[in-house]
Amino acid sequence: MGGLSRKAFMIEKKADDTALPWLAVDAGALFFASPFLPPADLAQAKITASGIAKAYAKMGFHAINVGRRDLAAGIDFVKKIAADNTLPLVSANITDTNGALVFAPVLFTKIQGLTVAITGVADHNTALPPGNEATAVSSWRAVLPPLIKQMQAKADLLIVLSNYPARENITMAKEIPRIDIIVQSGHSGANMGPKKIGAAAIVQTEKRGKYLGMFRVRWHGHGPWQPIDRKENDLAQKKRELDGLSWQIRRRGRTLNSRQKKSDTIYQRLSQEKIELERVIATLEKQQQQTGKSDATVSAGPSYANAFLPLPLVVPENMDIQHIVLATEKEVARLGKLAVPAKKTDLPLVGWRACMGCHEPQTAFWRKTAHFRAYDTLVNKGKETTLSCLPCHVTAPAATAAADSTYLLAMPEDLRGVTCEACHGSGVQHVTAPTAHAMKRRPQPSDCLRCHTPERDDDFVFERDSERIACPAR
Amino acid sequence: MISFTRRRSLFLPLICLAFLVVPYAHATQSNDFLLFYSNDVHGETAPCG
Repeated sequence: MGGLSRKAFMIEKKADDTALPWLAVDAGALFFASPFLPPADLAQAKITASGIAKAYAKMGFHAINVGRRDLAAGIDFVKKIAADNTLPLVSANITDTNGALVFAPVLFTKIQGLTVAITGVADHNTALPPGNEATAVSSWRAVLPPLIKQMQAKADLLIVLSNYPARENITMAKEIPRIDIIVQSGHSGANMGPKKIGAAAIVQTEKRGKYLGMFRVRWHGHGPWQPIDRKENDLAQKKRELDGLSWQIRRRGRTLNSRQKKSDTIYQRLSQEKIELERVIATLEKQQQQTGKSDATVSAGPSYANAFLPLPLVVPENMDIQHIVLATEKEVARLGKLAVPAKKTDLPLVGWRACMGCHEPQTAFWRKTAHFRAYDTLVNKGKETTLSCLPCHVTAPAATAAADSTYLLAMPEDLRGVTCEACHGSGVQHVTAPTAHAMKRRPQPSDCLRCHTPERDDDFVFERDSERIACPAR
Repeated sequence: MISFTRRRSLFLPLICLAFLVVPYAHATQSNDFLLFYSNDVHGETAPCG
């Protein structure tokens, strides 16, 4: 959760730079890394989720959708952290088994004199995690059409926060054309959008929050979205200029009689500008009629400018949020230290010192790589007891980790770091009969991609990077 | 301190300024705002180590 403070800084900076008011939303899948967490990970994950809730409340987010993943620790836990932090959770389709809504179905907010209505939907197509036996998720088709009608009666701009995949959201936009914006969450590994479907714009940043999406809205009523840049020069812009000019002329003329108007240079100049502008507008309208383009699509409707703001480590921190993040990480580490079990001695791995006897140059080479230091990087950050980080910083068989991850807290020293057996497989049989049981010479892409995922390491290229860490030949 | 006569001499320019500014305030009045959105699985923005 280290980047939340950079996100908070970026929101403040962009709001200052543009001097515009803002809304902030999250479409769900915020609190947990997975919908199904190993039981041993749950205590730490809940502390992290509470810290995230606190940080988002502090950042002033206006609406946060509840996704399926957010229910990983049970629905009661989500309700609790929302209540503890006055967090604006929203969901139109999560109910109890009696059909009663668990969260607010719509949140209304005012901005620039507009009323914005925000609702949210979770994906109903997949099973809920344990702890949600008394919870049901309805299809968006069942809940959204009547709800959108209600929202439309009370609000100018309608936003749906959706935890559904892109395909489903496109269908949603087609079937409910009154939706203005759909913000997606969870599924895509890349920044997306705005994808314009009818009058809706669908947007999403890539998962894991490496970017902050910024969608600048210039609202002139419901209609197809157009980019602000293009729209600035079009008919609607000229008509807005004419409105302003007409207002100035009326204002100026209010204190002048007919004779004075003729001799007043400012009044005459404004009047002349108005005649010119009306001529330009007439020409543009004529051009549109000739090209068959509907005036409604140009003179009415909203326009936008979208940007994906990267949040690299060089972005400064918001200190209030950083304080929350550090306190949360400290609490997670404290809990991890309490959970450290006895040293694990029955792992089906031998550790790097067993390899060194016969493979000394290879071991010496490996000890100069980042893989050797992988565990130390956690120690340096005080995260060596954080269970969600450990699987990529120690060498452990994946099947064992899934069963009970607490043993990761007590790894033998020879298996701390990404050691020989992470790439070459278990050496248990090899050390007893080296010739009969040859080791895997090179790792497979899947060995590396378990940790070097695009979200964690978007510069990873298997052919290039596996060559870079390849041990020297015997 | 500004004297009474100085204040009176400022009155007209200030009124004129207000008349000049108001039309532009009207012209630039807009429904612009920013919508920030995130997709922040587990609040992450960076690897652990």
